[in-house]
Amino acid sequence: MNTTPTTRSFGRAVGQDLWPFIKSELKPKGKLLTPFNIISAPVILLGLALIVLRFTKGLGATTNLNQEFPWGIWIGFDVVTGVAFAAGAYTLTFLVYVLRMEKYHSIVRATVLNGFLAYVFYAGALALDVGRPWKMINPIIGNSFGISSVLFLVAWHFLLYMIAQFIEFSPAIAEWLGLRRLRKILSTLTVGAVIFGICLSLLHQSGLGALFLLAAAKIHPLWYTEYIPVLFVVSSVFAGMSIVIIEGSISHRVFGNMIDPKHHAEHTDILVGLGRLAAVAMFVYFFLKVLVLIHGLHFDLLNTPMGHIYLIEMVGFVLFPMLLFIYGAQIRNKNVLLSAAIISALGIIFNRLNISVIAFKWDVPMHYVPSWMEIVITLAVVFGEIWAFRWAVNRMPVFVDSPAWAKQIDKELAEPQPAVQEIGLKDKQIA
Amino acid sequence: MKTTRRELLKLTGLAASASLLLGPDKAFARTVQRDTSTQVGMLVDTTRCIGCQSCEIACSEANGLPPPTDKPNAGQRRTTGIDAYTVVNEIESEKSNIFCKTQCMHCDQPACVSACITNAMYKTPEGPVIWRENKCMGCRYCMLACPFDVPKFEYESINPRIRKCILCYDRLGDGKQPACVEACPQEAVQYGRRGDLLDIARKRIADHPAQYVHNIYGENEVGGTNVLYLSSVPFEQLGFKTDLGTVAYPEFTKTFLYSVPLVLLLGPAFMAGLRHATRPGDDKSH
Amino acid sequence: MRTTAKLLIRGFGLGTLLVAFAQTGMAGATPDVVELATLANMYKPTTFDHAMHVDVAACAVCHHHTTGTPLPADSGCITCHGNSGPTAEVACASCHAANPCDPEVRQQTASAATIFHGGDRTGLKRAYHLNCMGCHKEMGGPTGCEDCHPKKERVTE
Repeated sequence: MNTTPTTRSFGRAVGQDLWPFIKSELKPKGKLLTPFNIISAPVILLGLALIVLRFTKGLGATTNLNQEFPWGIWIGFDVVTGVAFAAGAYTLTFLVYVLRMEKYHSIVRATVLNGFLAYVFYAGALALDVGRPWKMINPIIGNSFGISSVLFLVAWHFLLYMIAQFIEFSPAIAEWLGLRRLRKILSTLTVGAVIFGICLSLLHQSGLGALFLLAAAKIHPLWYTEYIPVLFVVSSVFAGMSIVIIEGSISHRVFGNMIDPKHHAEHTDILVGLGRLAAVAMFVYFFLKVLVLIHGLHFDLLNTPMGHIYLIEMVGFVLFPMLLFIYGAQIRNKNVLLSAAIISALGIIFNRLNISVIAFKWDVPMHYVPSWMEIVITLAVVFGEIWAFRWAVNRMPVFVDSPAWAKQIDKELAEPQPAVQEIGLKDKQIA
Repeated sequence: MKTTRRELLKLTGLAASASLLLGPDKAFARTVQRDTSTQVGMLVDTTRCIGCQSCEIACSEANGLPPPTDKPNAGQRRTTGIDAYTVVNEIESEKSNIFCKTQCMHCDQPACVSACITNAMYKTPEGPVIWRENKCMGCRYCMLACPFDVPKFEYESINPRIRKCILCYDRLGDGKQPACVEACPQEAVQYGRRGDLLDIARKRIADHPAQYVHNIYGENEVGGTNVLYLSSVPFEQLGFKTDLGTVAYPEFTKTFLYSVPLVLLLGPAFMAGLRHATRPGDDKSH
Repeated sequence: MRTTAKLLIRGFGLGTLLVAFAQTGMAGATPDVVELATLANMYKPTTFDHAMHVDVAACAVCHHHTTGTPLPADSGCITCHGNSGPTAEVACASCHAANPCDPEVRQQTASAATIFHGGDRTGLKRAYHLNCMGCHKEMGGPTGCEDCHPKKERVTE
C-alpha cells in the first residue's frame, strides 16, 4: 500500500531540484481510495468549511458553548485529552534517552513524530476555540504576561515543548533531506531537548489538571481535589503508553512493509514492556484516587447518578484495563494488550471529559452537549493529524531504518568517553 | 551494575531531600489578608431595594447598553448578560418579596484576574476589577474561574468581548459615582471605601438587629469582596452561594505554580544524573 | 391641568428664591411651593405643594425636630431635642446630603457620633422617597414615579 521512502540528496541540488522535489513530496503515495481516506477526506473538507464558518460567524454559530459552559469539547477533548495522548513522547524518550532502555529505541521516532503533530494539531485547535486568536501573541511577546495564571504556564510550555519535540525529531528530517552536517549537529541536541521536554511535559500535563483547580465550586466533589495535577500527570503516563500501543499496532499493519523484520519480531516485546509500565502507572493512579476518595469522605456520593459515572470510570476504565494489561503482559498476547490499551484510552477520554464538561456544573439544569459542528471539526483535526503523520512516515525514516551514513554518525557520537574520571580504573586495562 | 545502582540511589536520595528542603512551606496555601479598607466598593442592602430597576436603566445608559426588557419576577432567576451588567431579582419571602441586585463582586483577590493569561482582567489599585479589551484573547478561562459566574462572553460576535460590571471605573476618576448608585432612590446600593461601608453595614445590623441576618456577605467570602450585601433572610434564599469558603481563589493554584521552578531546576539535574548513572560503563557485568 | 401650569410657573419663578429663603433661616415663613431640583439625573424636578402639606401633616412629620416642634414622646427625637428650639436650616437638603456616597461628605457625616446623626445618615433622595411615599401609601397620595416627577428626555452618550 505504501512505498518505501527514498532520501533525496536535497542538500546537493538546492535551486535546481528544489521545486521538483517539493512537488514529488507533496504527491500522495499509495492508493487514494482506501476506506480510511474515503471516510476522512470528506470529514476534513467539511471541517475546513466549518472552520471558515466559525471565523466568519463566530463561536455562537458553530458551537453549543454558552455563558454557563465556556469550555466544551474543543478544550475538554482536543486539548486536554489530546495532549494526554501525546504523552507517549515524553515517557518513551525518558525510557530510551535517560534510562537508556534500548529495547524501545525503534519506536521512539514514530512516537515523537506523533507527539509533535498531536501538539501542533490539538494545541493548535486552541486557536479555533479562543475568541480572538490574533491576540494569542499577547502572552508571548511580553505585552501581557499573566504569570499568576496556570494557563499562561500551559501555553508557554506547549510552545517550548513543540520546539523541543521538533528538535528531537529533526534528525529524521535532516536524513530525509540528505543534510549530513545538520544531522550531526541536531543529533547532539537530542538529549538536551529530551530532558528539557520531559520537565516541560511533567509541568504542563499536570498544568492541564491545575487549570481546573480554579473551578472549585463547579466540579463534582468526586472529581475535584487539590491532587488533580498529580492525577493528570500520572494518568498521562498510561494514556501515552496506550496510544503508543494502539498507534504501533496500526502502524505495524499499515506501514508493515517499511518495517525491518527484526523490529516486527521485537514488537511483542515492546508491547509487553509498555503494557507492564502502563499497568504500574494505572495502579499508582487508582491508588491515588482511592486515597482521595477516602480523604474526602465522599462515600455517600457514590450512590448518585454522578457517583455511578465515577464508579464506571474507575472500575470499568481504570481497574479493568489495568488487570487486562497485567494479564496480556503475562501471556504475551498482543490482542489482549491492544484491547487493554483501547479501553484505557477510552477511559482517559471519559475522565478528561468528566472533569471538563460532564462533572463540571453537573447540577445545572441546562447542560452542554457539543454541536455536530464541534464534533466534525474535532474529527477533522484528528484526521488531519493522522494525514500529517502518514505524510511524514511515507517520506522520512520513521519506520524505515535510517540511511547508513546516519547510523555512522550515531556510532561516532556514541563512542564511550575515556574512563579517566573513574577512580582506580586509570591504571587498569580492560581485558 | 553495583556501581551504577549505588550512584542512582545516591542521586535519588539527594534529589528527594533537596526537593523537600526547597519545596513550599505548607502544602496548602493560606489567604493573605490585605488591607482593603481604602479600596472602593458597594454596599447592597436588600432590605431597601424596591425592584424599581433604576440601577439597571442607569447602568445601561452609562455603558451604552440597551435598557432592560424584563422585570424582576419571583418565578424566574435573571442573570447578567452581555448587555446587562447588573440585574435585580425578586425573591419570594414570607412578609414581602425581597429584591436583590446582582453584578460583579469585585473581589479583593479575584479568581478571574489570577486566571487571565493576558492580564486583561485587572484588579485596579483603587478596587474595581476591570477588563482590558486590547489584551483579551477570548479564552474564557475567567468565566470558568469566577465563583459567581459573572463574566459574560459575546459568542455571536466575530470579535467577541467579555462583558461585566467595572464599577464605572471610567467615571470614578472624574469624581463621579457608579451610575447605579446615583440612580437608586432608596440608597439600597451605596458606594464608598470598603472600610466605611463595612462600618455602615455593621452599624445597621447593630441598630436593627431583628431586621438583618448578622452577617455581611462579601466580608470574608473568597478572601473578601468589594461588593457587600446585607439581607433580612439567610443568603442562600437570595441565591447566594454560601459554601464558597474564605480562601481567595488564586491560592488554589499557587502551590502548583510554586512547583514550576522546582521541577525546572531539579528535573534536568536529576535526569542528567540518571542518564549518567545508567550509562554503559566499562562494567562488563551489565 | 391649569393648576399644574400655575404650579410650574410659580415653581420656576419662585422656586430657587423660596429655597434660598428657607436657607436664610426665616423659619417663620413657610413656603407655598418648593422646587426639589437638587437631584435631577433621570427625572425632571419635582414641584412640591408645601402649602397643602402644611394643612395635612404636622411639621415634625417631615422636618423631625428642626422646626422646634418635635412629635410626642415616642418619637426618637424627643430624648435629645425635647427642649431644642428650631434650627437655623430646616430644608431637607441641609441635613440629608445630596451626595451621601461622596467620600468627603461621608467623612463629615461619619464624625457625628449619635445614632440618628451618624455615618449611616440617609441621603437626600432616599429621605424624600421614604418620607413622602411612606405617608402617601397610608393616606392614598401619589406613589408612582412619574406622579411626582415626569421622566427627563435622556441623552444617551
